[in-house]
Amino acid sequence: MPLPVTPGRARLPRYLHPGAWWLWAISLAVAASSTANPLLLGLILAVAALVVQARKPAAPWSRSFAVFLKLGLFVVTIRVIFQVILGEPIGSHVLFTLPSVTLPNWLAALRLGGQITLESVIFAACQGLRLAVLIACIGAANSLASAARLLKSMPAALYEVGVAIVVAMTFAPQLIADLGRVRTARRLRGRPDRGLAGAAGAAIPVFEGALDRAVTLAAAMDARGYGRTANLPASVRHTTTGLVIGGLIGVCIGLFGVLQEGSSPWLGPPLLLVGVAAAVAGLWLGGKRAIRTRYRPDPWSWPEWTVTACGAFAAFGVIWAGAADAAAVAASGTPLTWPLLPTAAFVGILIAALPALIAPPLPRSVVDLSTSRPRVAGSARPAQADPAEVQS
Amino acid sequence: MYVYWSYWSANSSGGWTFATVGSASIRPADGSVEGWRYGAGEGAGPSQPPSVSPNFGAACNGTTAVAGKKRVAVVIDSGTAAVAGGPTPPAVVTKCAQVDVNANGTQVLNAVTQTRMAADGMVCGINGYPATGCGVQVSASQLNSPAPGATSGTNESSSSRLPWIIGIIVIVIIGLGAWLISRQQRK
Repeated sequence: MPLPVTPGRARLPRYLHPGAWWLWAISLAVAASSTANPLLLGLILAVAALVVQARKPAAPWSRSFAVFLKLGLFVVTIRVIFQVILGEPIGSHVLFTLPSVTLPNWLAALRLGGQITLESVIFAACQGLRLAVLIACIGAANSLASAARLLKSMPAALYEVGVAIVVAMTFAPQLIADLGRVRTARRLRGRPDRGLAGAAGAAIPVFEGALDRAVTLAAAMDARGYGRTANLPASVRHTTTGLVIGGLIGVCIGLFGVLQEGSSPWLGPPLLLVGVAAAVAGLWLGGKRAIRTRYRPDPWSWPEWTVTACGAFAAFGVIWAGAADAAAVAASGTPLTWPLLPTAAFVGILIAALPALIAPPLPRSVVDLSTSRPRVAGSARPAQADPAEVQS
Repeated sequence: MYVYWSYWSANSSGGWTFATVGSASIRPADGSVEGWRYGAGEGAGPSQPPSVSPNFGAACNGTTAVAGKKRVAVVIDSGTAAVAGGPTPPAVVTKCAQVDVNANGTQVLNAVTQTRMAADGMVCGINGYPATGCGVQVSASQLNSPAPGATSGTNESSSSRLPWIIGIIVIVIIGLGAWLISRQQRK
């Protein structure tokens, strides 16, 4: 249960609920995947960058946005190179001509080399940009929301999965450090540390160490009472299983009905909603099995609702614009035209930039490790740094 | 149902066969006839074939064969007035394309017509018909009584640069804002 919200608490410096950031980012990603218009995609990218810069916490993991941007640039380059080498030339503005190789008849849609036209390069760049902006939206969520805090908000039915993931995330750096140590030891002893022989020789000690650590941690957690389950009657357990399986089947059939044209209206959205409701009910009922208390759960109050709604506006705006005029949200074919700016999509994406203002301001970090600034004196607020403890 | 340009190939018995793959994947042989017809089709079902029978000799008699190139006849049938939904469609046109030996169906079409294609390679308009839209969806009743404003969707802003300029300015402003915030945080 979320803590009761006192008036004014919403503007106190705190971290936004990570689920709200992920919902906002996924809505932006839905908007990006619905269009290939370079203007709209560039706008989505700019909005994501603005919100990330405004509200990202000062933690090491929040600097990953640049990595995702570089990955996006790589994706665009690869896509354009593939189009240049393999794609069909559309349009008439020939840029240059590569030596061409004739492919057999069953590959008539591809060709190697040949004429490279401006239209085909622009088309490939738009397609690559769409994927790059999708990656950037996920990167924005990664920078804004702490993964550890997100795991704290997992539903009770998936509690054990959440604990396992937190343990893995905590121990992954130690595994890498172990690997380095074993390789150094092998090199000192004159044994191969690279290639297949090196990997085979280093694998056993590393796995042994990891297993040892896991068994020790399991014993410690068991001693502290993790992993106890409530004694539920068999009827509740069977109901849970039935609800979850029935809900998933309903979701599958409902998705099929929504995507398939010409199917009966009962097969589409109503069945999808019923399936989702049944699956959620099954998850809630299954959560009764886990006995756990939650320490200071993240509140979900009006900033979270507003941030989620802003993201939804972007997705709705782009989808609405696409439904009204498919050519406005598509990349330009032949002849080459300047990209349009549909109003609904434009306004929707700009609304998605509001979380830069609406989200509560970040708490001032106690120590900023990147610049080694001195500790802020008299800070009464407990350090809200990234919790690496195994706690849920 | 949808109204779109469908792609046909002449078969050996003097009729038309609906092409099961896109025009970019087929390499018409020298001396074959290709057909394009603008008509209504339901889902994956083919629409009507071109209304004239394929005749390579009549189309390409005036074009002499050249070594290293092939001759392909192209029939372009812009459909009936019922499908047009407004302007009178142009008459049936037959052309002879002389293209490279390895040209596929799309290149053959581009060689003899002004084609407007969507970014994914679908043919939207041939020789300016229809002027806008690509594979528009119509109901059966609209086909029987042509509605006058069926193609009044987009305006002529396709050649205007204003939305592009406004969009670039907004993107630059937002990007500048993000950069300024990051500079401020670094201090």
